Amino acid sequence: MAYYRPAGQDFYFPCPVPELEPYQIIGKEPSAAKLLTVPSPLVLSCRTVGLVGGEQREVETWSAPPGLLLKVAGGSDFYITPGGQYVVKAARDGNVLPSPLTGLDRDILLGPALVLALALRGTWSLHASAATFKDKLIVFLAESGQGKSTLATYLAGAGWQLVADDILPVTGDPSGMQAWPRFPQLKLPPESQPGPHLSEQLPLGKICLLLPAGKDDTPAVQLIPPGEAVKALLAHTAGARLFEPDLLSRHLEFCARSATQVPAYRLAYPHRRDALPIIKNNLESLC
Amino acid sequence: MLTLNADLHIPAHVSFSIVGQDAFLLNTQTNKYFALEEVGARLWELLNDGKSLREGYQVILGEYEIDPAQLEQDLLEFLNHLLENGLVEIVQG
Repeated sequence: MAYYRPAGQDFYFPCPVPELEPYQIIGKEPSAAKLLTVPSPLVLSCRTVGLVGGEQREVETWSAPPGLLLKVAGGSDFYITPGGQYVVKAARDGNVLPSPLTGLDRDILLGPALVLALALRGTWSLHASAATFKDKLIVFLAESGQGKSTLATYLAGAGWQLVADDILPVTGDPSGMQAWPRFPQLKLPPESQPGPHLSEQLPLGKICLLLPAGKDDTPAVQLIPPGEAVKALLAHTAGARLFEPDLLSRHLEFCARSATQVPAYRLAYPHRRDALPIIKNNLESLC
Repeated sequence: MLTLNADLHIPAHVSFSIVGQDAFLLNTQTNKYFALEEVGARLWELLNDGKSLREGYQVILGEYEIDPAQLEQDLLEFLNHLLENGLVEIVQG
């Protein structure tokens, strides 16, 4: 059993996960007694199709009170304990398996399993890129292919600090949204991971929704009403299709509260190289 | 047929949040979200506060410059949409 602290939360996994090595905690062992079997009976909660391990796969969550069982086609099953603290590989007979993880198992563990385990603890994983300027953190939300990574990479090369380039875990509290950037960014190689060099927690200053613009349009940043920000947060939370009803309700509450706490902007983003310096200036004026 | 005299309630499987002038509804049985704007959100708020449909209609009539018959038609159409999506239920009897 390996012990890590990604996204400011403690997790125990069945065996070492190299991608989480920067967040490993040495010398703390959990009690293993309660992890011997997965509870039964199981009841199907959600079934969907999602990109896991580079392929579209059927993904199911099963209610296994008091926890959840995650099944991804072609991979191992993972049982997540009620508080999301333990994520263990489960055999079909309900026994917990200590065996090593395959490549696909690692993708499941670091993808939907970790996202679900975090959600059970009130930490939501935004599918986003993010960067800071003068200690102000801006998160960029967009559909795939709309330029989140390109923008974040450009900003990182122009004096900003890259914070995330795929997943940004966030929480809500009375003072606003908090980001938890010490989290593996699977799109980046180990040497480019920003998380290990960042504070565990950063206040989230702005939400920026990237929208396509005509190639010849001038980039523009415009404040949007909180209602539009709610829609953006709902749409860009990873793994939400796997949430059980109670989790969905808590997630909606989080999105609604956060949208009234954090200013959100629409960024009309023409996909041409010379637009990036203009966007950078626009964003810096917000900071 | 739905009328303003219908007794409606919000079922337990519906979660919602009011944000500014919008309301965001979630049917946890279907995992579908619905966004209501301005008048729809206002009616939702009134129903949630325990107002009857007719009382909600009267409040909105006092708040907006709108033809009464048009408002009635629009609200009933809107409520039929909510009924179809399991977001409100008619209390029988």
